[in-house]
Amino acid sequence: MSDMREALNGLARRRAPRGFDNVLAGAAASAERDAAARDSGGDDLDTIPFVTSEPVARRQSASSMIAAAGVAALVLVGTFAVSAVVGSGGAGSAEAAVRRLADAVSHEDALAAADVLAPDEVRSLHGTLDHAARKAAELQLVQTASAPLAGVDFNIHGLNLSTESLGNGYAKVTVDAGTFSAATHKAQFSPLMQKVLRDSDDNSAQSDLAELAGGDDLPTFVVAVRRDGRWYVSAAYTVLEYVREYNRAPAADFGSGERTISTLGAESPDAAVQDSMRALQREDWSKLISMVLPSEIPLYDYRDALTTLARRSEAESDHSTSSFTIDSMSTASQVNGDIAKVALTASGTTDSGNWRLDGGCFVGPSDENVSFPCGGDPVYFGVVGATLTGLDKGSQITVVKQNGRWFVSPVSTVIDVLDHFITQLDRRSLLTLLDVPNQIPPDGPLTLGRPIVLPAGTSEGTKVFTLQGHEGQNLLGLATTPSIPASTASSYENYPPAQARVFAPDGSEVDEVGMLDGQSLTLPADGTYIVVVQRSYLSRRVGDVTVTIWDAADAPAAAKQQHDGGSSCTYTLVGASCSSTASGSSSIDRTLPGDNSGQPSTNDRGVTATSVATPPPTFAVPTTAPHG
Amino acid sequence: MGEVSRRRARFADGCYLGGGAALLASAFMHWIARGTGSGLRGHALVDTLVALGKHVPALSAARLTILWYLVPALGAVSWIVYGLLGARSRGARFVALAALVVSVLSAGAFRQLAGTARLGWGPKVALLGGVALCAGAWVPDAWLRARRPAARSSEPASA
Repeated sequence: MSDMREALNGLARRRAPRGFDNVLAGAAASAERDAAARDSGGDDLDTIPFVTSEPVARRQSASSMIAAAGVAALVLVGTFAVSAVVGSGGAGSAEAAVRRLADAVSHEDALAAADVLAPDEVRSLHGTLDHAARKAAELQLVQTASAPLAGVDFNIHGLNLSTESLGNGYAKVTVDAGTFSAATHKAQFSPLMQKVLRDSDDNSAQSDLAELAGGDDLPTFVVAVRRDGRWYVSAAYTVLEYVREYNRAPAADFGSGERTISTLGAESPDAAVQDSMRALQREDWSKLISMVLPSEIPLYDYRDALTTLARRSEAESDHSTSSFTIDSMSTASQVNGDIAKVALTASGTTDSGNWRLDGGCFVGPSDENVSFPCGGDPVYFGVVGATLTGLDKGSQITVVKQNGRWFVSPVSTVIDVLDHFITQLDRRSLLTLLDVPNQIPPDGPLTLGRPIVLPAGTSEGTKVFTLQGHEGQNLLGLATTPSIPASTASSYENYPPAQARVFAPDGSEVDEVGMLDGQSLTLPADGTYIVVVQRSYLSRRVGDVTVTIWDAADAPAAAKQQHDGGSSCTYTLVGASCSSTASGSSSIDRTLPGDNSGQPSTNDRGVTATSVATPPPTFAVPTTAPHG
Repeated sequence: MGEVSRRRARFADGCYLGGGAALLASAFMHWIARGTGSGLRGHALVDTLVALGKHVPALSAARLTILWYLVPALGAVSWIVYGLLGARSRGARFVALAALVVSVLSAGAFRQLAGTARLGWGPKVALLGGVALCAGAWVPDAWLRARRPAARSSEPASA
């Protein structure tokens, strides 16, 4: 106060105006002088400001604005948290949904990608992806479950999109520009994957997203749908829209399936499955379409396009009708709320013969190489089947209730099978599928001359042994099987039912020359070898395969026979029956104990397979001319 | 008020405001750079990482989720406190300290869950924000009372 008084008195002495601002300015100057005096006394510090030169109103306004912005930000965070708890999927617009999907791809985040896909279409896919990632880490296929795609680098950049409305809640997002690039970095893969990819290098590729379907004169687009106010990318609508545009079929009636859902489907889960099967038999595509859950796969919205395509297809095939029949059919359902699991057992005929379905076990006509026989090796399209398909007798069809009606859910059914496959997959099966069976921990040392049994339909179809080998040592083997019913024999029956692979001490594979096909294998050096014996998946054999490996000098004559495809050797549990289709002669080369079938059979290639209950193992030289 | 002090006070205020903004912005950044969870935020991100089998001692998924949301929330609160009380008030200092603790804990937890190599910009920006808040709020008075430049000490007293 004394400073203030002095300032006022000073101003009065100088006859200066005594306004408020001048008084304050004078007081401030006085304070600075005092501070300067203190500074000169050793404390050379500036004063902490107690009066600012900024206008007070402006400063208060800025502070208020910052505080208000803080409140707004807090509300934003709160909204973000609440919306995240309620549901984090989708995006605010169709274009944003596509960009979010692209972002997920660029970050190799499968779960985030699943979050932006239409929820009804992916259903429990999120859980399945999670399950798959953890299983992959458990099996050491990937380094860590949280980065299953480590070593793979995807990138989408330069995305330029345009949106066209297809209807209320449906939009077509066209990619006008954008680049997709992918690169692999082998060093970042798991040690197992590095062994699997031992012969490949780092790769990279790039493609113009706008030109992906350019070959078909179509733009690159995805269809987005709005669900509960959020936009999602719809894989089903995208695929169906491509099919429609490619075939120039009638436009879809978007949303009609969900609008008329109460008139579609069936009254019960069993009826949904049985009606679908009957519609399939009658080729009643409209009925079949009405049985599929419209929100999951919108076939109903595209019914005009799909029936048009079916009519075109019939016209092109001269109106020939299929002879597919269902002779018997039964279902058993377990209902849990709005979801039911239906087990289907059915049988019937086609042009080619009989078919039979029991849960997930399917046996097709003999000349159609599509079968998933339970307890045996699955064969698809006559090529290679995996030991595990996720299908078994317990496989069921998922049926979902919506608006009081029951619909078949193809996605849930497939996801169930996928989940089962992932659960079943063990390291032995995985290493077999990846073609690195030498990484399987050995089952023990190989005893030459002792039979090895490879059971059908399980991961035990591959066995691994160690062998102390010597340079120049010759090995020869023979694989035998039980008799083959003619109804299940295929064109691959003339090949050995198993194969043997030998890996040298340095991990390299000794060139396969057909050790089980009459050609001996010479070991290149002394050391511990890994010998892998595997069932061959080129046949539809059901039952165990028995493999025996000898020193070539000790091998029976049957093991020295070559059986390349054109010849006619068949292997039975009691012996290898070799004959020429021309001569028809045969001989029993070898018998093993334990078989009591004794029923001869002939496959469609004219090869006779005979089981003889003769316990003692004997070996005989074939009486026919050498094969191959 | 001296020009240097004013400039330093503004710098400290800027640190405080910038720190709050960084904490807020971190919620919209990728906390995981690549792989599973990189496109997720908040509870979905935490749930995903925890579901993959990783755990942080004493931090359940629920606690970690709350911690994650506290990061941007404290950023917003820091702005409110700045507007009402100023950057070097007791409240502002409390908020700054809390933000630093929360951001360090969050970043540490995510490092534990995903590994250092996979950490995205989110935790890094949050850490930076926490440090900036503290720097702005706890800046020493001695630094703000800057030494007067030599030239000014010779100014006439009547100036």
